[in-house]
Amino acid sequence: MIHPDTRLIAVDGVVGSGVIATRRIPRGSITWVMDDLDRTFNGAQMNALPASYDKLIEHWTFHDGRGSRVLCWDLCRYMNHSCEPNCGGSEFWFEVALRDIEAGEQLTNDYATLYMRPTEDFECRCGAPNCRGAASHTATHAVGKVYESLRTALEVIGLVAQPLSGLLRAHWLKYAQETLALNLDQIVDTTLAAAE
Amino acid sequence: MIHPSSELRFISQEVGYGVFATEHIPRGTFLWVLDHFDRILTPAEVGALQPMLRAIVDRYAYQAADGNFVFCWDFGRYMNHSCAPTSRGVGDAFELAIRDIEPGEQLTCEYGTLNLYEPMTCYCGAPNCRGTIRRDDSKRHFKQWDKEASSAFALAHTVPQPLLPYARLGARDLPLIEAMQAGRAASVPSSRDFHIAEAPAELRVAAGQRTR
Repeated sequence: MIHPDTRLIAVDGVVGSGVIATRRIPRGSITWVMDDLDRTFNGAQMNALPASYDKLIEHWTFHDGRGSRVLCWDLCRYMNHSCEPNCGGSEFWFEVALRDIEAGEQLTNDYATLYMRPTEDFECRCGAPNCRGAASHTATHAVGKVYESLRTALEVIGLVAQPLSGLLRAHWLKYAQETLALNLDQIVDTTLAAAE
Repeated sequence: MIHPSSELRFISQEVGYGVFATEHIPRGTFLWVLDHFDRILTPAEVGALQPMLRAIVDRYAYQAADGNFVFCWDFGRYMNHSCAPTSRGVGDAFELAIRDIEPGEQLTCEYGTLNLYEPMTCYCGAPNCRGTIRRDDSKRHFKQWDKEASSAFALAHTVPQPLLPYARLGARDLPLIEAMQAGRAASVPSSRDFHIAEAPAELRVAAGQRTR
């Protein structure tokens, strides 16, 4: 479930919709937690779907890095890419604000952290000063940067209001903290290997 | 899945959101189909949800004829009730437009076939508004509802059906679709047959009222 202080907006004809904060969401806030209404499709389940679903799968789901794709039931699936993302952590089944998100600002992910396949690369129009121009799965540096921001943002997770804390499982948080603190280089390698 | 020529709009604090047509949609069109992304939950699964999620399912899911709950993954779950709805439920997987729908018009359905936990006060404003929508309304109104559904279904093979490739068909739907594709008449299952007499015991006490 996505943070309650969000809503859907129409961005433009190319990007489509996006999700903005309706009030300030401070750094370290949990912005999304995977919940029991989100659906996960493994390879066999995806193959069992009619061919008409191929485009829907590509458009609405993200890779979990473990061979499955996740379909979020709520606004989360409208979150756009940015080369300077303010949310990250989806592979730990939750995300946090990597910096303060102001009211009216879009909530974004770096899609390079979402195990994009090479065929899913796209031309980026995010407008960030460091925009890579193309959102590509080979962005090693970008993935590392998100995990570094995530690691420090998790240090303040106990200091801000957490409307989604009831959904967060303690072992997910522990896993994220341990993985990020001990193995930052390794997690970047794993992300890229899974995308190949 | 909700018809592609529709959009979500915020209506008011009391009503919440609704789904509105963005283009002309002819009578006989499937406005919604049950699809493979929709989540189907058993009563036990609903009972085991965390409170935040339970509140969402209580408000936005409906109970199907087999007793399971259907939680739509897309804007279909924001379709409001009207006592003079734009569509009728047909089979297990379809909402069928029973009149032509113009751009800007709200897509509405009949909650009287969705096995409400508790009676719902209705503010739809239709001349025939029943005031209160009850779990067993189909027992009293099925003749009219079935008539509207049958006559619209006879047109289903004459209009574009963009949602058909996505439908998750149940046993009752297959003969309907075969007849439709062959251009034959088919007898539509009665709306009476979708009524379940009792709400599941484990859910009854904690259930919130559906007010979407």
